Amino acid sequence: MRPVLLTVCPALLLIVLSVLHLRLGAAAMDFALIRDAFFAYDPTNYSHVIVIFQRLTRLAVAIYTGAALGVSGYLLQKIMQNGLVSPSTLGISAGATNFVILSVYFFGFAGVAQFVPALAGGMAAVLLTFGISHILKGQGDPRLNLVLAGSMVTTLFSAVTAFVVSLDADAFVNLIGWLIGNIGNFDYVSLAPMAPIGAVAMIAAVIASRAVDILVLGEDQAAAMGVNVRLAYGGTLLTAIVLAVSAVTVVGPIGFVGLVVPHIVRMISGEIGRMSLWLSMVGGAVVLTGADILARTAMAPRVLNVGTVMGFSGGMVFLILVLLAARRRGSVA
Amino acid sequence: MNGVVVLRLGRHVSLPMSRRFLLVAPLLVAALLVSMFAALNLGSMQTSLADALAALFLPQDTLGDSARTVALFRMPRIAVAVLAGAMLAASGYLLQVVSRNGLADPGILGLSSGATVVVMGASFLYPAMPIENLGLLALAGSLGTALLVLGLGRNLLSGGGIILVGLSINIVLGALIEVILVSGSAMQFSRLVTWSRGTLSTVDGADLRLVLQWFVVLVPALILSSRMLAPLLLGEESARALGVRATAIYAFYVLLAAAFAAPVVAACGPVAFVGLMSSYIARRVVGDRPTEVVVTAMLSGGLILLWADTLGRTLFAPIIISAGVMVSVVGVLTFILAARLGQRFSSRED
Repeated sequence: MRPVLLTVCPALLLIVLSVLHLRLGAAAMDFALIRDAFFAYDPTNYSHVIVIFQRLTRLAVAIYTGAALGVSGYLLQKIMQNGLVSPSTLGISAGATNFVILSVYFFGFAGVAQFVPALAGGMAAVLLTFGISHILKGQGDPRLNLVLAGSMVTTLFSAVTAFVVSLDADAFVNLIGWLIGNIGNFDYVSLAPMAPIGAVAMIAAVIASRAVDILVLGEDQAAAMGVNVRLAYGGTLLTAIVLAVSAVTVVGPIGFVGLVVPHIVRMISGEIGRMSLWLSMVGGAVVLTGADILARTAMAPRVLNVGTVMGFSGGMVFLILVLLAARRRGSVA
Repeated sequence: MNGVVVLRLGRHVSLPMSRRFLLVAPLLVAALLVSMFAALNLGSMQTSLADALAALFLPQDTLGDSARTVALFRMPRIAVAVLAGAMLAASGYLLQVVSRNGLADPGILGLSSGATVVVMGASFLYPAMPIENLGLLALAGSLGTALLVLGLGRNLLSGGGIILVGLSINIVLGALIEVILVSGSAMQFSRLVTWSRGTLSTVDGADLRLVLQWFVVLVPALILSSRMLAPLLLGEESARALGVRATAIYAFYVLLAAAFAAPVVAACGPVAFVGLMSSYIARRVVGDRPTEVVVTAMLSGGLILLWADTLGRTLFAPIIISAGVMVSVVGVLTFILAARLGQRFSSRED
């Protein structure tokens, strides 16, 4: 009974939020109109066009990027056994953003091709973060050090990004929304080629989930049980980076989805098995869809950036997590 | 600590000073003067020596066009860079002592963001706000954030704990800044964006007056009270055991640290890492004695921000790199270095 409930309930929640997402906004649409837009689409009816080409596309982007970031954060927190890591706190988002901006400035990359520099940037950022946290080793809490290193990497990359943008502000006018981390009206164009990449990565995550479950027991134990530790760890890390980067390529650096969702998932279903993977996927989509509804309604008719909403709420959650992590350390010591 | 020289003036004043400080401080002052003069002559517009001298010493009405430009724009900018750098350094050092963490800095702990939020919110609601009031508003913002961060991070002072508390507060405040940015008109937006990244390119005479007023009031307060810092370095309990009213002194220094950061934010926006870098350098150069460290830190802070701004506007001219960006890149590297070697600082205090 419980597995069925866990599978169905979050999905129902996502559907309810999706309908709300289509309904709410600068102009509220009633349900009949949304139904007509789906089943009896009339291209001359302006409201239908808004529902399909502005809200539905936006909803699709929110669901995909939310799911990708949720799973990415879940995988990262699981293999590193650290509740503070996520694509944004490890610097992956900032690194990807930085490399994309550089590729636009120097080589004029556009559209799907941006995925390549984004991936390179994400990987460079992770390596840099690991390197710095290695330098910091030997003092303080290693979990906090990793995040400290990540935030320094983020500062470094975003300073360079700000500089490159200031070199030729006119060339980046169209990218401003993307830079802050926002769902734009035309983001669905780049969603189409990213979605297959994300789907492959999600399948990889499902296939590897057994090995990763064992990995959590500890490296020696996992090796004794016949798991190729390096392959499982490296593969999962790569999967997480690919997922995060595919989301960044579409919407820019939206933070904290990947940080918050795994915590909710662990409260509901623990960390073992494929159910948690499913939950973090749906959970990520729910969180980002909700944030997007807030972004469009909180200060209507002005539309906030989704990145702003996530930064505000996610920053507070991050603060609470840091305080909790420190308290737990204090009680153990 | 190497040799100590005691400076005696009459019967009442006797200042013990380390030889190293007596060597380093004049060198830094000289470097600062030379740098200021160099900065006056460097730039997209070449200044002749005569113009620079004229701008310095002649009354403004008598100046020719080029000398006038120097007097109106370049001189305030250089003066603000030096003063702001020194104030950020003082703020950073005080925060490091109060939080007992060698990585603290008004930018990293969120004081600058707090001041930024209040200043931006106020200038958005009342666009005609005179700049004198902005200083006080910034103080409210930075003090509020300082109390929040230090209050929340009270139990995790050593290591990265309090830094992460500050960083997460920074993230929340950053989101608030974005909300204010999108609420304003496009005109306000473009002006506020430049300022919210930390830049000296918008500085003018009014900013200089603001920063100077605060500087003149705060620096004597800091220097005269800096002897009280020494017991705090031993930790709160030891300080109490020595008979120091630790709580009152802590409160005083938090207020002072916030007050040092506030006018800088009002004039040139949030600039992080200057406090971290200069205090780090100062401690390594002159050791422990608080008065000496804070003076050395302020001199090097002025040097750092002046060179960050000057290099930023001349290195790739006509492209201008804002001082905030220049400082961040160098600052991160210093942060890592400081964190690596920070164990000595914290172990000495614990």
